[in-house]
Amino acid sequence: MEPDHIADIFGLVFIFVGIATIVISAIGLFKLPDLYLRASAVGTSAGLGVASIVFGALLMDFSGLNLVKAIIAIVAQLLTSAVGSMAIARAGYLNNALPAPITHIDELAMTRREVSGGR
Amino acid sequence: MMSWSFRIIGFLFWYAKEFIISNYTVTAEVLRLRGRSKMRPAIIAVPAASRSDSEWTMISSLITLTPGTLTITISKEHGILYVHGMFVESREQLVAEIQEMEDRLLRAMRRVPGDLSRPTQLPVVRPLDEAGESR
Repeated sequence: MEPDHIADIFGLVFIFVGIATIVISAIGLFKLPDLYLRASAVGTSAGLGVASIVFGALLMDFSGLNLVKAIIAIVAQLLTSAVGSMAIARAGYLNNALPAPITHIDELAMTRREVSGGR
Repeated sequence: MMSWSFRIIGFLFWYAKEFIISNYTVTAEVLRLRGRSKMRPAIIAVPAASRSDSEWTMISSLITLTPGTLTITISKEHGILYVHGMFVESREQLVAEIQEMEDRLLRAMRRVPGDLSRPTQLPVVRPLDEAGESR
């Protein structure tokens, strides 16, 4: 087999791993009980899922310029998804989206005023 | 100088390893049946050694990027990261994990690691009253 062919196969494998990660984290969005757990689970698709699809596409069509593009795409994606998750989690906490009852320690609760209006 | 660049490369590899392991654990948890869930979520106040703004930004983004842990907020004044973890057996276990990541990050970010001490006592925090300024 020529090297081109092998790179194509590996590229497809990475793309399918990325798709599977994103599908599983979408299942997690429905299954998990609260905002914070969902935000953590989405991290798998935003990080590994997208990075592995970009890497797979890079393997299938490799060039120096594409390598630079892929690195920029992955780094920018990781940074923005992290900042987005933190903003959503903080906004949820400030608006009394209480953690699910299964949460066994909550040390942020002492900064919370008495909840009057429910969730 | 040499040891600084080794620390940076070492941190990158260590973080990549942690990232893949935690991706795997979270994916496995989602696929597990409801009755066999190993989830033990908790929100923990972790004392932190970060000082400058860029260190705070890096450590909180890296914690959030690892699936299964999520920085909800930080208190620079008290030196505390409020971290939500998905698999927390005890307070000490999550604190140890986060502090190991922070130690490695700070050794990679600072040319001379310097002061890595952390506040030892949790501060007494009170909610702002209704009339308080915006949070």
